[in-house]
Amino acid sequence: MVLPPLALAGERENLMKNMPNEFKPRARKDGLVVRELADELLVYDRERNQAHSLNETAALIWKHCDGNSTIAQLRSLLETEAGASIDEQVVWYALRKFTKSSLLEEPFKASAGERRVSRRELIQTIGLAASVPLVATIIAPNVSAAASCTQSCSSPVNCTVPGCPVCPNGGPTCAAS
Amino acid sequence: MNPSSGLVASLLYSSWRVHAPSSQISEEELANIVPLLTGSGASALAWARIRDSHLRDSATAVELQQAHRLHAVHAAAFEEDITTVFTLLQNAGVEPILAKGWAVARLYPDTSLRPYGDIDLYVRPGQYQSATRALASAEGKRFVVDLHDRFDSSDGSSIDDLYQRSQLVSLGDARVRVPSHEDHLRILCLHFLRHGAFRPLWLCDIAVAVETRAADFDWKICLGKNARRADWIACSIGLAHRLLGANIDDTPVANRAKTLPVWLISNVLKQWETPYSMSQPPVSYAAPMSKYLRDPRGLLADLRRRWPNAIEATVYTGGPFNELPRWPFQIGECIIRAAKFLARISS
Repeated sequence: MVLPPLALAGERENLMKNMPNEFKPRARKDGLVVRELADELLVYDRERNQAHSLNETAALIWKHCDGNSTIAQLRSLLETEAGASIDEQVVWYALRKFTKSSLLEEPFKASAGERRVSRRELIQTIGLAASVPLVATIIAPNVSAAASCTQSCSSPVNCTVPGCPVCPNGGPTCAAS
Repeated sequence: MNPSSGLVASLLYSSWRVHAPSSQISEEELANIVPLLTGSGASALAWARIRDSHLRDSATAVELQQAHRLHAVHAAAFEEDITTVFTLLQNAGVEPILAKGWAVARLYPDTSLRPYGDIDLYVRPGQYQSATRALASAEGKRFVVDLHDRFDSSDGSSIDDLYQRSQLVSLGDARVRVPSHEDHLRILCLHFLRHGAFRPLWLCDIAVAVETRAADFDWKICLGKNARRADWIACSIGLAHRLLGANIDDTPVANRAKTLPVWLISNVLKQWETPYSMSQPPVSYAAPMSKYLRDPRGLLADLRRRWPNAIEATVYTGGPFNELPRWPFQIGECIIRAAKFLARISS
């Protein structure tokens, strides 16, 4: 892409950063809590109160989004891990998913002419569903934490445990609403 | 045996172990008890029993797996919070002891198996005000802390004894004070009974605490000097053995497990049919008693709801766990509560 000659340095830098080939994604850290399970990485966004599950491919890419690696380098890393040729679309696809889930410091913006591939197209291209980076938002069933509503109270002000906000009849114990 | 709670017990059987055997439960049976599991915080343990079974990819199992994932991230978030709260309190000159919650979750193969909703802290009475102030600060308000200045599960032991026997354990880069194995098992057992044994997860806690006890575990400290309380604790551990398969060989309570009162087991299973906070008193009451003083309509129906659980009533009145009927203790609890209510309104 040829940049307009009069572009200011800052604008030029922003444009460069947002070009897919020059973009150096940086994984968000603040406000996120990460936990690894057997074959997935769980990321909890405390600011948005959302949890995401990243499969192994997505986790590998996300962990290497250090702000220094370009998309080509991320692809190369994936190729090393997989021992096979990987299409750059795989990385782009992952970055779009990360952006959608607010897992990057700066959102990944596709270039104007880029065609967004779907998951199905990606599977057809790379041939192995397991290699497609997946980021799934965790939707909980009616999960109950095990707080036991044992907090003492004389008024609702004393009841700070979620799920036990009521001080029935002026105490002596907080209860669920 | 109550059909649903019996299934819950069989699914949670040895679920806290590193290599929990796969359950043979059918998909239909599992679907029937999923609300009981997810509603009581036992879904991750249930997932541990079926993740290597033929049910792994069933829609019902996916629900349990999602709950497990959620517990995992919440556990990670809580662990951050606990270290921050400890630092906050230590900076205020308070040395807290963490019980239940993470302190018991750490005994499981993975803390994500045992969810919790708050941070239970014990502090010395003299430090209670400082702790309250620190937790009421802008930073402290962010955390869900249940602060205690009394160690009411003790048996003549003071909170100083609790401190003396407590242990420091690692949580990430931090060191967190938790009760000794003996005190903690005692706390877990008495807490389970005081709340009428309504959550199966609490019996899993007792099972895991027994099985992971230290080699030098002192049963005298755990059971205490009061024979009746010691028997309550022995019965709780016996329940963990009879209902969930806890290994209690080589313990002084092994014989008691063989002679548990019939009403005790049936009452626990009855409670597990509705293991939700919403089903427990006082939330299950239609209205506060003070309302009926003004308008007695509905009182009779509500009195039936207020009939106490046999386990809770026995512990509340300090009764023995024997084969005799429970109604005297249940009536006793009603009388004591009524007296307290009358004393409160008259003052």
